[in-house]
Amino acid sequence: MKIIEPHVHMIARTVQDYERMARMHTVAICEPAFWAGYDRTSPQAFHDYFTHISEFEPTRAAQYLIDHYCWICINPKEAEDVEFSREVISFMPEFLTKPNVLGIGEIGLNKNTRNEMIIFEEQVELALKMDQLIWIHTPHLQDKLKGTKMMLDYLVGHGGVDPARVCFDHTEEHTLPMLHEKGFWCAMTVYPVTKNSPERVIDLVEKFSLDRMIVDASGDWGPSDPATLHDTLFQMRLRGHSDKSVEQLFYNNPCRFLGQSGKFKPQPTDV
Amino acid sequence: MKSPKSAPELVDQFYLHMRSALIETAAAFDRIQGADDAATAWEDPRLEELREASKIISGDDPERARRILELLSVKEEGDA
Ligand SMILES: [Zn+2]
Repeated sequence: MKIIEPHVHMIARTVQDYERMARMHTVAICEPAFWAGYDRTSPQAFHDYFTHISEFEPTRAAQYLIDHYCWICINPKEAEDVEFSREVISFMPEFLTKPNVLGIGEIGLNKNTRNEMIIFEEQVELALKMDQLIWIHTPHLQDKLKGTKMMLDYLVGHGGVDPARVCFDHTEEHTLPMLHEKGFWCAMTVYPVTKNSPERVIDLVEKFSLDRMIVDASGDWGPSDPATLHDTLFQMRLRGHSDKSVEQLFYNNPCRFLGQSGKFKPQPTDV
Repeated sequence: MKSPKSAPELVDQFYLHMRSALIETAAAFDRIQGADDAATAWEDPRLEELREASKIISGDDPERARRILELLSVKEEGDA
């Protein structure tokens, strides 16, 4: 069975993670643009970062027969300065037309501020104008519920956003139901301590079906591990689910969502 | 998509995990209580939330995880 990792920040990971993912049958990975662990000091630094994830990182992945894709955006943790953010947005289109860039992400909210929301909305507009998929970061811990509601209300009220082309990431028991009900894709991050465990992800799948559900490990520079994705696959098998269901969650579902970009090469096996 | 396993089978599968998670939490409360200035720590609103959360666990109503996450979220009114 092949596996897709829909969210990993390989810029922060070592080559050993590529090796491990390759051994665990990961054939494609996606790298959303995010914070680097420190605030970048100029818009140009984002240009370099986008170049790194759209040009260099795919060459590292290719050595392990892994297709590397990325998403481009100004992330919510650095979106407080509106003018700075707009400068970054001004050169995003040149990256969005590259063959391995899947869309705009991970945009979203961090502390749920007015300025973060302005930049979120402007990037949604750019996605609509350029017919791009959207990948959304929901805030951490105590800010997640409120921030998720703010973005959901905006997107539903907008009128021009197709929920089938938007994925909300880092969803948990208190945020997934309202998103799923409105037709959005829901990604669940398996992360030590602060997000979901493998057990809770499978609980959510049993409750809300496999439909429009995605799992990722969101490996980055903090305590995280790409192998938690495979731990979750194993948990699903331990819980007695069929190979067909497991393949739908860890391969066919991400193929379907990401395939809407027209650029994602892996194809679903159940067509 | 129901659980393919029965409830008693799930108890067998998860009992030790549940036992461990509760003991870890209890031991952390003990650790805090036994350290200097425990009285100040005891007033920490985060610990108060966890004491509330433990009541949710022991009750009979479902959706415990969702309700605990809501308890630990910032309330609706507040800054924006
Ligand atoms: Zn991320």
